[in-house]
Amino acid sequence: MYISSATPPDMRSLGAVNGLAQTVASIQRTVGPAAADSLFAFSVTNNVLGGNFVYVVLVSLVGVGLYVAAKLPRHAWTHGGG
Amino acid sequence: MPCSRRLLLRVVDHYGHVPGGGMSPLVLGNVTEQHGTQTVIRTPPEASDPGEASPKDIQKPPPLRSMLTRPVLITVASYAMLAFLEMSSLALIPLVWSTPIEFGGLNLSPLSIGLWTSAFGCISGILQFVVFPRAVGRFGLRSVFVAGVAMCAVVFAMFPLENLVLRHSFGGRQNVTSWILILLQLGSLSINKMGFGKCHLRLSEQPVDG
Repeated sequence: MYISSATPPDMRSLGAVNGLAQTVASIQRTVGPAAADSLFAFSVTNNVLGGNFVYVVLVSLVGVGLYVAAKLPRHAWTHGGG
Repeated sequence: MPCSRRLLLRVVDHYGHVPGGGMSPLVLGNVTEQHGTQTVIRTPPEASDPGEASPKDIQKPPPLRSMLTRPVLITVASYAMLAFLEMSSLALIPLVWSTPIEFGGLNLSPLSIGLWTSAFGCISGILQFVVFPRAVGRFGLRSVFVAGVAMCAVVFAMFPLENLVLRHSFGGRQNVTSWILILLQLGSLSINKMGFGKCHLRLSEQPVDG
């Protein structure tokens, strides 16, 4: 498992880790569209940065995502054939 | 003569995990048996609560809190960030494309938005089949994941560029440049989806203790 082979301490916590990952990702999937669309509406209505404020925020969030993804171990799960 | 052997226990929560080192055998500690006298059990130094892990609770699943090690948190956080960015771009695409040009949109008709997104769905599905295994074989899973996150920046950066092109085009009409930018945007989005392919591929694999 991507989540699990990298991380979990114990075979039996695989399910729990998987569930945790899906829960957090689902919450983000709920928040994401609402936040992005509201931010677009906000920046267009108030003409923040010429209406481009939403893209600045989202691209900096991509930066955060890259920062987190760069912390993923490089070789932790290569034994799985990946 | 003391003989030393490694005791592999599956009880332990994160005690046996070496941070950053990937899978390690779940070693609770080294049990050193001295003949006739006593048994010394050493636990690794990172064991925060050694009293919790005794062979008695072998049947008990580890508590949820013990799973929240640093690798777990990083993996979950990166997966969540990818989900957030992907859903944001999927929500922004129809919204921005249908917005009038003076408000920063593309002023596309619902018909063409539907045609673009459905064509994107078909082509992206095929691309996952064809390109994803080769990309993983060539660059590795981590690189594909990082590329998936990075491509979101391209998707977001394309919106103002497309708008800029349309503002300067004659009569705000779609032209070749804006189509190319839209194609670039959708192409980046399908690379972004490969990051998910990676997650799901991994979710179906069983870990092998190395």
